[in-house]
Amino acid sequence: MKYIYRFLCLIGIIATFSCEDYLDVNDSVTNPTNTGLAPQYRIEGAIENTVATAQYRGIREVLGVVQYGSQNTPAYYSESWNTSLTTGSYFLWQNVYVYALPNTADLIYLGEEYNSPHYTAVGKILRAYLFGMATDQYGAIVTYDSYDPERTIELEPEFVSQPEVYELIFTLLDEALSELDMESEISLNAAEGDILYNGDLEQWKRFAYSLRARYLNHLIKKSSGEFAYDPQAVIEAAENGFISNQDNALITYGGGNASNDNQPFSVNGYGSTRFDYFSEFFVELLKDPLNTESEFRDPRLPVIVPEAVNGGYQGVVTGAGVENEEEEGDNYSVGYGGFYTSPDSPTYMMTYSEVKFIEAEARFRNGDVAGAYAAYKTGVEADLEKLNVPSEEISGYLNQIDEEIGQSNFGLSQIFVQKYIANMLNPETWVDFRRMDYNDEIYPGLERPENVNVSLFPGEDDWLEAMMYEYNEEDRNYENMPDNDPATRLTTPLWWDTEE
Amino acid sequence: MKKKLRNSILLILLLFSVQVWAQQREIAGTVVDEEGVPLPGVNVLVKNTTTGTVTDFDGNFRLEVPDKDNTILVFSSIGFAEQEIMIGEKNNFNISMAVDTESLNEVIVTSFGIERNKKSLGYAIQDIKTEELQEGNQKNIVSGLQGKVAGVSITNSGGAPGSSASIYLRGGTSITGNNEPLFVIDGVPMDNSTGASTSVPSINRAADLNPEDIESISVLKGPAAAALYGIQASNGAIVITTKNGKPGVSSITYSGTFSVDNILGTPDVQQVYGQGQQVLSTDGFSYVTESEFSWGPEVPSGEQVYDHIDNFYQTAFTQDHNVSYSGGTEKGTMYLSIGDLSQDGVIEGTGYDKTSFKINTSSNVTDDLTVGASANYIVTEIENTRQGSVSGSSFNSLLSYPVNVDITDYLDAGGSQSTFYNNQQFDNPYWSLANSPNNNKVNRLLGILNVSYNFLDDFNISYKLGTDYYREFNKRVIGEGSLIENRSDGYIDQSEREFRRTTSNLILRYTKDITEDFGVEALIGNTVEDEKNHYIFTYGDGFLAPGIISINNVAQEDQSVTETILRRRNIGVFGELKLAYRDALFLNFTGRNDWTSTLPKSDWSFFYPSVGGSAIITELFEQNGNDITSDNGLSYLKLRATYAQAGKDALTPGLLQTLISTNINPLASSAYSFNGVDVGNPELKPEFTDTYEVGFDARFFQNRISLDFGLYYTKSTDQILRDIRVPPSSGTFYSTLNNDGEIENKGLEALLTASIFPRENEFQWDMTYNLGMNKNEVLGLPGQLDEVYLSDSWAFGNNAAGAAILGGSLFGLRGYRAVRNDTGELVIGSDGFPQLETVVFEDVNRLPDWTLGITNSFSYKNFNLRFLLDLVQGQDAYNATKSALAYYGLAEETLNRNSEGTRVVEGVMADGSPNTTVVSEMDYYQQYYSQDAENFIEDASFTRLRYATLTYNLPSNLLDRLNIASAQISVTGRNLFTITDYSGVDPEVNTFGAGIQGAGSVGIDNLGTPNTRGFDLGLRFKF
Repeated sequence: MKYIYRFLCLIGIIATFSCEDYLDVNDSVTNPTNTGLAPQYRIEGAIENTVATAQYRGIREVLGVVQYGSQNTPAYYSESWNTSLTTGSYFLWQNVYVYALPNTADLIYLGEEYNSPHYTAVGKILRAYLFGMATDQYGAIVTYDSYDPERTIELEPEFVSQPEVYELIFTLLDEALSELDMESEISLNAAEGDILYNGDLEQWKRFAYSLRARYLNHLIKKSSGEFAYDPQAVIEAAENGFISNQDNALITYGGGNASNDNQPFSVNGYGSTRFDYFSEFFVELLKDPLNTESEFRDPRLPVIVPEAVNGGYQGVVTGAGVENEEEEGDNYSVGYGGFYTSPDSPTYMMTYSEVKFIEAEARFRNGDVAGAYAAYKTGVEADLEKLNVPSEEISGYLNQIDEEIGQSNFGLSQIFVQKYIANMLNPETWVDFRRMDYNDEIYPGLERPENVNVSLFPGEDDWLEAMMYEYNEEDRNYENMPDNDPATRLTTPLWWDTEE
Repeated sequence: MKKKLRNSILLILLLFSVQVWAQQREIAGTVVDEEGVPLPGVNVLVKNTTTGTVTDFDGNFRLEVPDKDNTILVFSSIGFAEQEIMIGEKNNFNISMAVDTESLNEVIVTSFGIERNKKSLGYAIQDIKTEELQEGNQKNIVSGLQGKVAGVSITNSGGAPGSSASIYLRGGTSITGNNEPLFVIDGVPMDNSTGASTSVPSINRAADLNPEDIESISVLKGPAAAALYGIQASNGAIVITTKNGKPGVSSITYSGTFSVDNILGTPDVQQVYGQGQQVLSTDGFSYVTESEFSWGPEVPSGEQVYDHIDNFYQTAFTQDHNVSYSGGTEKGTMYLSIGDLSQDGVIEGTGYDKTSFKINTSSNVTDDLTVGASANYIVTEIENTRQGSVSGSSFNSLLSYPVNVDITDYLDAGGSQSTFYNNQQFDNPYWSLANSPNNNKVNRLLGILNVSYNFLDDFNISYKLGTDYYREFNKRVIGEGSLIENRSDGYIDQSEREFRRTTSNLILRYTKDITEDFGVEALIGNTVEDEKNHYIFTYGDGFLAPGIISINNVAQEDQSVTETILRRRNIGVFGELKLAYRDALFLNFTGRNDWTSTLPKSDWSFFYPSVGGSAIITELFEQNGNDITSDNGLSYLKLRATYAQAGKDALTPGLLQTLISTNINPLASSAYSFNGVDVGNPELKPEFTDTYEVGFDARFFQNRISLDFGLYYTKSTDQILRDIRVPPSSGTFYSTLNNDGEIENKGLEALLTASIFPRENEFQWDMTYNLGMNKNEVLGLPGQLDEVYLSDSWAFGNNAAGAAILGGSLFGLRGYRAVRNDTGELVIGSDGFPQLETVVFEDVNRLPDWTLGITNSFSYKNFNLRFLLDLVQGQDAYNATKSALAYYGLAEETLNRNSEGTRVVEGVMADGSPNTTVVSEMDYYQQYYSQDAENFIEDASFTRLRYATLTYNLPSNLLDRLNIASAQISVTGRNLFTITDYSGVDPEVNTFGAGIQGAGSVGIDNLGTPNTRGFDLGLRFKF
């Protein structure tokens, strides 16, 4: 019978083709496939989607949670923790899983295919960054069942607990570090796609170590077990991390006509509508960054915060909105136009100063106050330099710190306040807020927003602890998903945020 | 037994020897009808051979036959009863053919254009002749079938020119794929796709055919009928046979119709409250006049009010002219035609033009070798407006003009578009007609070459090569000066599509009566299909200079081009074996194997069989000497049963690969990136549909009443599901899946025909009842999904969309519904409005539970009156048009608004306390009422008089003097009345058209152009 088929198949078509060749027309001739391009053509998309989609979405609402900015409307959902947050309409999830992670998975695959482990390493560093950002907002997340170019998509992905995610992050970073030491047939910047480090492997390694320091340092509440907090390990990682602002991981914008050439939170950026005004908390903090009696304004205030139309610097109380905005709006500092929110402002993934603040915290917790203080001051200096503050003002600032605080009055609050200012628009700040329990002794002046959703957050000390999983995930994968009831999800501290 | 066997072997040997030794002799004769008029074109065949001829113009024939007294001649001609004559010793024959009143030996066109005796078929098939198709003067052949075929559900999408009609046979079998049947023209598949545009109506491409060119249409209802066509026929097949010439008959026919059409109606619009919107603030209640809403205060008496919707539509005129020539000799036949349709729309400036040329030739090279060719060239052009809830939609814009605003005053002194309130962000509909054209042009060629050769007495080999080729050009424009946000400089998008499908069919047939009792027919064939789709989509944002509507007038950096090429190839090998016993018992086996390019190599070959049979009960009894028929009772009874399977590949190419592209997320990256949309599934497998059907065909009272009844059950498994929304953590928003999708359809079809009076009577009354019932259920969906919806069918406000519902209908609905507590009270949110949640409406079914088409025909002397009453019952519709009217404050139901402008919605808060929050009437309607889809789900059952036609045939004595063979004048009224409880304008609605796949958009009433009511004057002359 088979012979008859084959015979007919052959006479049905022109004899010079075999059936197989004849039918081989399904592949696209106009677009490359996920595994069809060499890795140097994919690295740029992998980095850009990690930062400009995932990280952007990871801060868009969180900037209200950590009170960097305030919206014009009262009781805005991210500031007062009501609808949209309670209904799972918070979309970091899809941006991590659909836009960012698949590009990194492809990069890892292609690095292996093309004998170019440097690309595999970059893919793994970016994945560690993405998994870290996601787990720090959600807790348990999907890791192994996320997109993999070597198999069909997993229809019902399993969730992985946060300690397992942390395990994975450290593994990915370790693997990346060893792969960066291997020989690579294609160099990272072969097609000018390495928009982070232009192919500098040492900088990539320092980035991996810096991330290692960041995630190890999240574990301060763990006193036992595999993940017991080990300040020495944090310090070690930090010492191998960034050594100057040259190492800062950032993507730049040109501020040109194309919308993707603009910083998302700038005037024409696609996120500007989520950052109407600077918050009162942030502006007031910059007016008195060292929490002293004397008048000392942070030189970064006018660099970061635009002046109000009616003069001066005034933030909007988070959650309060601006009533009668047409008249009152001019009294406040609008969100766009400052160092971080101009059309050509970069977006930072991680900076040298953050690494120094991590080191300072670890040293402080390890009892090395002098070392902590030194690292802290280096961190402050680095951030002032990052913001192009004139050097005389920088030395003035450092002197002021020595005078007002000094090693004797130095503590965690000083570190976290400076880290808060330096990590402007970085989702990492929310991790710090929760690690420090939103403590107003750490963050002087921090208050619960106005119009807080009291049905879920009745007590004065109740704060937002995690994000709800997206409703799209809940609709289609509810069997695997941990409890997504807003009453528990939004109010229950994550694993690293619980003492054990 | 042994003896019988030996006898038959002997007989076979005998037959062979007879043929070998037979001598020839010549016979001749004349064939006339009952009135003695010579009949040309009658087939004269020596039984069980391929020797034969046709009669000439004077009914004469001449033929060499075996010189054997028991040679039997078979005379056949369409419309006449077949006759068999044993030649005996006579050499000259005068044959009188009787009109076929019984049509027991109905010949019907089945797969690959093969003619079959209907009684041998084990499955349901119904055919429609050209006259029936043309009744009702539908220009779209799909619409022309409406109400005429049992179990076929056809919905016109609307009254805009060039609108599509959707067609479903026996419900649907695919959740996200095409549910429409395969269209086959003269044995070659033709494309009937509809562009899936939610903004501008698109036509289904079968409408390119000129109904005048069609001889007959066979509707093969299930996969049983279509088993041999394979892959694309799992939803059944519409097999079209076009006209050809007849030997010895030459004629020229002209037919023309002149039509006037008006839309069936417009929604009722309140005329009391005028422009404005309600504002409820801490300062109390007030009105703001600057608004597109009709939520303002009462219009003072004496001030002019308008019904903008009603005023917008006009009377449309249509002309349709066709000229055809048909002729032939014994050596060959030819048919030529030209058709030209020019239809104006009910909206000014819109229209549909179609010109078609057709040639069909056939030539007998020798008695055993026939070659033929046909070509159909079609040019269509459609001009249309935008519709639905998209920006630029005429209907949406009409709603945005309050009742006391003059819509015709839309130009300022400088000739630019003016606004009637600050911040107007939509265009005036009349301005759009003049400045924002949308058009669609198609040039299409359908061509077929065929060869047929008879050899070795019992064998026939035929080969057919056909192509369906068209180029489509689509241009959609928002004119410069538009008020739409970001469109003030205008916008143009254009798509160009080149479609080509080439089909090659090779079929070898063997037909033999083995013994007097046993007949065998065997067939083996090969088909190769090659399809290519090439799209180029271009858009330009912002014209540089006024007046030039071209992509050239857009700055280079504001242009974008996307190219897509999709190719699909398929090879099929199939076979069929038919066994006949005593012309009363029939058994039929088919099998087909496909190799398809759209599945992975490991699974691209798949096989599927069918087995069926039929028994002519009356015949069996008669042969056993027990005739159970009588003139006043049963005259014919046939039972039939079939099991069939049809396989289906992924009809869209390229589903195996995951593609990446640039600018996928233009906000973030322009580099090559994974896009979360074009995610392939390299493990696709074919899907299968299994069908079981049984039925009977019974006739009574000398065949004056006949009933064809069938039951079917189909189950489609392993569905290939496209664009299924999956958990984002899987890495994509949409994915192609191949598991767990399962759909069941069960139903019945009945066709009852009755001739009330005997044939001889001068007054004739014929009735046809076409009944179809279908129940369809989604038995399985992949993963944890309980619905699959198609965002293409999102209706106004995105409040509801068509969806396949697990445990419910494939043609279901999902959308918002108010939350109620256990005691049924509305749960009110802190904002004072009822809370809404997204639900699947388990009970909604947008396809009818049953349809009944009733055709009546009365004729007396030269007059004939026919009408079709179409009952379409049990379906639901979602009236998004009404939701939009409520939103804008135009719906009559909003007249109940309180004079103080506020209300407290009756309901309870989450804690159980009664709601006390005051909201404005406008906010109630806009933020709750119009969004609660449950408020707009309606029963859309209807009974409609599709058409009534009065025809007068001019008397022959007059025609003889004018040298005209026949002439006919007819008057037709279409959609004359509708009985329905549906509150919208038209319960027959499918705003987004037939282009929406899967769950489709039938029954979604979303701001489209209503269907029309019209009258036609028809003329037909034959020379």
